[in-house]
Amino acid sequence: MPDDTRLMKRPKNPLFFPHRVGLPKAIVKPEIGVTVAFLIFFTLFSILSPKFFAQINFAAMGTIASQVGIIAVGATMLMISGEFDLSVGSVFGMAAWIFGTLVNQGVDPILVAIITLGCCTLMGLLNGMITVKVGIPSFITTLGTMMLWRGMLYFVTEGYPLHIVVTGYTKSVLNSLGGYIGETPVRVTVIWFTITTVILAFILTRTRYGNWVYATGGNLAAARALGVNTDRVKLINFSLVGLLSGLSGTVNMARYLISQPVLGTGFELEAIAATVVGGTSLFGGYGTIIGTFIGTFLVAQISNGLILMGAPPFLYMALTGVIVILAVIFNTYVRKTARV
Amino acid sequence: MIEQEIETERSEPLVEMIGISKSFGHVQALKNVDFHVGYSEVVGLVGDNGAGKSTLIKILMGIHHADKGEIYFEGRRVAFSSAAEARAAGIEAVYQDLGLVNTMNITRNFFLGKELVRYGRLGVLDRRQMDKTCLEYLTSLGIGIRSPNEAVLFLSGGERQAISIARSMYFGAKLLVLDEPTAALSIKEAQKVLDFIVDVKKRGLSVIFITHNIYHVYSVADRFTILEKGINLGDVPRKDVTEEQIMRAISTGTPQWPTD
Amino acid sequence: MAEKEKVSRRTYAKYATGAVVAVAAGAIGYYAGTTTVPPASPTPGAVTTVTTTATQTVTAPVEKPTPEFTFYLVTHAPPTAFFGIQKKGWDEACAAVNVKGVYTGSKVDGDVTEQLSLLEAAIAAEPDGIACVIGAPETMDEPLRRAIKMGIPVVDDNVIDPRPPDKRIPYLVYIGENSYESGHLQAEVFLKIFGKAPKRACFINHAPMVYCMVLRWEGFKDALTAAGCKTIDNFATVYDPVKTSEDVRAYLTAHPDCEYMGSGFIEVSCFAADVIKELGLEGKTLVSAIDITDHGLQYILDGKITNTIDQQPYLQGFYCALELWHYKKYKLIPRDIYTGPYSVTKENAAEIMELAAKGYR
Repeated sequence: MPDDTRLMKRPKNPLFFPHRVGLPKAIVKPEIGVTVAFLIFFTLFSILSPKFFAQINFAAMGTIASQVGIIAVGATMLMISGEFDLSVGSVFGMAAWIFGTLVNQGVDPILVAIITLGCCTLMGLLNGMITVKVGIPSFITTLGTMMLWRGMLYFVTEGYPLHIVVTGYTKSVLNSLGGYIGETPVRVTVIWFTITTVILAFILTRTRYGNWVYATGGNLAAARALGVNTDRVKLINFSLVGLLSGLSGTVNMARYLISQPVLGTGFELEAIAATVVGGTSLFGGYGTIIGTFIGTFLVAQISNGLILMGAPPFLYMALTGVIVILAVIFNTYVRKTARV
Repeated sequence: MIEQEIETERSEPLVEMIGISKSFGHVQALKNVDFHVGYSEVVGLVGDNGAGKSTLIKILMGIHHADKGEIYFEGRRVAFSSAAEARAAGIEAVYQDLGLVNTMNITRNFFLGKELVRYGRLGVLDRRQMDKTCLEYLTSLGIGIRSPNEAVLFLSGGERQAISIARSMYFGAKLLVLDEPTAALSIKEAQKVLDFIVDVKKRGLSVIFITHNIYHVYSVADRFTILEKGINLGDVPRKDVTEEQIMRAISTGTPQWPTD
Repeated sequence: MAEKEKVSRRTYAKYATGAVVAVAAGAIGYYAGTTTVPPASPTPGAVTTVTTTATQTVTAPVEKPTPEFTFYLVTHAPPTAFFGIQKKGWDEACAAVNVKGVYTGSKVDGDVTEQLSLLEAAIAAEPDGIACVIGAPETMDEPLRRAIKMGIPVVDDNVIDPRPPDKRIPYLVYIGENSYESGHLQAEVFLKIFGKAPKRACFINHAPMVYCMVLRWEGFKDALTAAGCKTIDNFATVYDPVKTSEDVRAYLTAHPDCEYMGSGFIEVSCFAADVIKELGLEGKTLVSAIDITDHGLQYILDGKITNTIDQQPYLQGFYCALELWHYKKYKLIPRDIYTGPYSVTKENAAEIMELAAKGYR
């Protein structure tokens, strides 16, 4: 460590012009765009539709947001490290099928949950191994695994849905995983979503692993040159996304009680949409988990608000698309010009 | 960090490369090249494109393996087999992209790969300590940054170059290899970087300065090594040669000063 | 150092913001539960329209009164083709009785799990009535029971909950086709046209997640078995031009002796008819269907499809809205209303086509 006495005073002739110390830093965080958008729409819908501002409605919004949200925060972490995962929807569908099949065979539901999570983590790891070790771009790899798992799902189910046989014990396990909390209309899935968000946000911003994630996505060569094991970082992130897809699939079984081959279609794009709306850059190295959290609620809120207003169903898709584009433009602007 | 003591004249050089030869297939990149760098010395490694400068450096850093020849570092025979080994010994390279991640702030970049953590394996960043150390160290070197939390993206080219070099120094580099450090910088910024390099030398490090800009390197170097098509055209101290002579040597391929 | 003080002040600001946000969120959550929204009271102008019976078309009053109730129709498909016709019936009934009717449906045809999310959102809106296509009874069971407990009347649209009365969802009434009879009649009419039992028959299930397809398959199978057909297959596919055609092609290549293909939707039968033409099996393999589209009716007129069964979706949408209104106003509940099956063959296809073009069939 350098000698403390030497450092306490500034050198008389610094080699660079001394910057004006004490200028207020602009706290323009990456989440600002999505937070403002969320508040605007919240106010808008509360005014336009009297039924919007109600506990039961917020609970419904939370349930819908958590479905994709648990996956989206993992996808955010992966995107910050510079990779995509398009197979999350298919893994989600497979999770539901694995869970349903094993439970119907009579296996203890808690064990089934663990097995399902394990399988999905392995599916994520597979994505990682192919991308990192073989060197194929993750977009292509996960496109392939998306079709692989979806195809497998159609193959084993022959297109038919699988009904989950729910007896007393299984039902109670399912309810504790994804049912309602007591008498409130809020589901446990929202708790899972919140916990996952908090943990991942902490890891990303406050641990050295998070620093490695930012570096891997921001400048892979530099990170490698400085000794960061970028391969391991990516593998861990891919596995994490698989795990979270499985988690979402498992805890939502309490709602579905059915496993159908089309389940999860489109989740990958919803996850990516929520991620970029929240302020994460598609190119990696810059992003926010909290932003994704707010982003999923923004998207859920729009869908919910439009249903309450009685708007035609196609309007939801169109409006979400417009919002995604506007959000990306705004977030890019924030990223580039946030200066003192 | 290892305290860098200001070294006065030392008999043996910091780096000694003797009789290095390297071929890639049919192409002979280096033919029996001698190269040495002393303690507290700035050596300008110059030559036209394809002369073999980067190959020589890569062999020193352990990225390539020499076909023939020996390398001595700090008086001991070495043969690095990877860049990580070279870095562990104290040889650091700063490439054109500076090894900085634009999207992160100065502190995170400074400590990348060697973060200060609390709670051991959990790896929670000790942000306060990192910020404090980073700011103090950079300030002690005369690099005036507003705050260590500023994103690297917003700094000038000269400041970023300086931070990159400072990082290497902090983590105990003995020899710095700078590849075109003043390219793409404005005149003022380039001058700041050159002054900084002189300061670095005074603190006891040695620098290998690779560039095409002879005017820049001339102002800071103690010695020049000119490579041409894989051969060492000559080693000449600054006092024995002018910029024009060096440039003509490179363009004609023959030394323009009296050789002994 | 000045820098250090600034840093800790900023940290305090961060914590303070976080605390404020948390408190605000909690307050919103708490107060949101306690606000009561006054029920929409009808304006005097509306009273006069309400007393007429719904089967008469009502002349619109000069000033448009505020809707008396809000009903939701929750389905598993977008309002195109089949469900578009249902929506037309629904909209016209709602307009006639001065009710606001909202249609919501999954983006992907047959996606029951997305429908679940839409249903939960609709229930959260606390409407005056819900008509829901109960395509997956166990999945919809919990939310609909909850809605009924909350006092929202629920009618079952289009797909019946097959469980016995003490186990099934306690909806007010089922309005839709008799799915078993649809499947049965489809095969019956075909057999009459064909003259004899086919050597091999197949049923194309394009929406395996929806329970009515099971009942239709049962009816289909029973009619054919009674006529003496020995081999009856089925396979599941999706409603997608490319995928459905590929699956049909695969089946016919594997079983070229199939003489009859039935389906659950006329567009699927159109795809099958096209594939049959491609494979050169025209005349050897015949196709029948359920439901009506303009395109499909043309196929019937051209002879590419033998017959179809219309479940009259206009009536389904219409009666759903109407019966919800009857219950809300006067506590009237009829028995289950069966809107189909109605057989369409080459003979009556032409006249139906006009009405189909207008969107009523």
